[in-house]
Amino acid sequence: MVQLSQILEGLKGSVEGAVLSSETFRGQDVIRVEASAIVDVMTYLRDNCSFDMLTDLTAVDYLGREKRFEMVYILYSFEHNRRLHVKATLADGEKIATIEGVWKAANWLEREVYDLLGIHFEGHSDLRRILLWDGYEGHPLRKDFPLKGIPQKTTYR
Amino acid sequence: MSEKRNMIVNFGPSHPATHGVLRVILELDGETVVDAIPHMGHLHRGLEKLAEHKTYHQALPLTDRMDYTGALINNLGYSLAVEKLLDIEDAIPERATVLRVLLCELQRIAAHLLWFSTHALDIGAMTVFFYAFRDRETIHDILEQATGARLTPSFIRPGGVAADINDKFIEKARAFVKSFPALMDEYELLLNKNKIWLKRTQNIGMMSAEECKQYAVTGPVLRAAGIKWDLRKAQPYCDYDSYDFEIPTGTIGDVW
Repeated sequence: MVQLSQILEGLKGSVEGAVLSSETFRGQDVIRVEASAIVDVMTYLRDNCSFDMLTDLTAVDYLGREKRFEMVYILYSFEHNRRLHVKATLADGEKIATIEGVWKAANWLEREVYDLLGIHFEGHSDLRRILLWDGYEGHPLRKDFPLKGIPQKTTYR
Repeated sequence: MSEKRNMIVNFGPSHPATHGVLRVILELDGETVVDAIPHMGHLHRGLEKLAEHKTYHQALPLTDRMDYTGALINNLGYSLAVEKLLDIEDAIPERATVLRVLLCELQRIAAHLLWFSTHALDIGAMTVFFYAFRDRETIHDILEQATGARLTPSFIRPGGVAADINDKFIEKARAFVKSFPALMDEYELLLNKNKIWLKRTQNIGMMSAEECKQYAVTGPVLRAAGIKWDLRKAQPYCDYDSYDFEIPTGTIGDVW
């Protein structure tokens, strides 16, 4: 079992200035990183810490914070049977690089985050809505999106 | 008119069987699909948005509806997350934990009966569907005895389960467990010699272990690709490490 401290040490040495902080909450290891370094961080974790699967990629809207969005990447290593949560914060309208090139699973997951929270992924090969239809207005998982929805124009094709 | 070009075909969204209404735009070169663009939002109901405005207990019935074939299992995943967040994992009674496993495993069998029989139905093997649904109904009857509902029980809750089980449940569950191995032989007999079914599953839709990891595909598909991995073994919850069971694996990751 690789310790969180070992991962942090390696990460700090390889991707300079990327790591902001880390914590362990209810047994879950979390590393907070600089959003601009996300591809380097993910590539390092895949190649050097054997995190071979991106279990999930999602985001949370903390409306009211200066940087309202928090990207959450959940990684898994089959070799060490361990998970790692990587988080990065983004301001409204701020973009983050796609990690499609690191794990292919990121393609659809990033489309979902784009669809429901309106976060843009730079360099994504196919950034379209995935659950809602083309032409839908708004991003429902934003906390300022009303529960009853926003009236949508309906076109029948 | 001799120019060769591919044909674009719209598949769905109203497939007659509508298992998870899916629309796919297919590009065909003769009989071969060369490209497929899926549109999968037709069943998206915004459960996360709905849950934003509810308490932990109020959100529980939503988890039934995430997948009606595995309602109890979704109840459990949600309840375990809430319990972890509240740091009350150690306060869950042992009897509740055992009941959770018991009910979830029954539900798992029912869910498997549904997927494999409707999948066989869709690709041309109808008979096994009737056998599997007969036995799925037996399980739902047993689950109803314990939870009061066939499909949407909301029975496993943060903190434990909604109620204790009764003698009738134990009697029915015992009888089912006794009868099931013979029933599995029936299904095998109906499928394993069905040439159409074999042709449409063997060496079809293969996925390697490496591809599974790249695309974050777990569960039966990962095991079919040869990786001996099951969450109940790798990171046991609900004391799964105290149960004795095997992880079945395949080799080439095909449908069969």
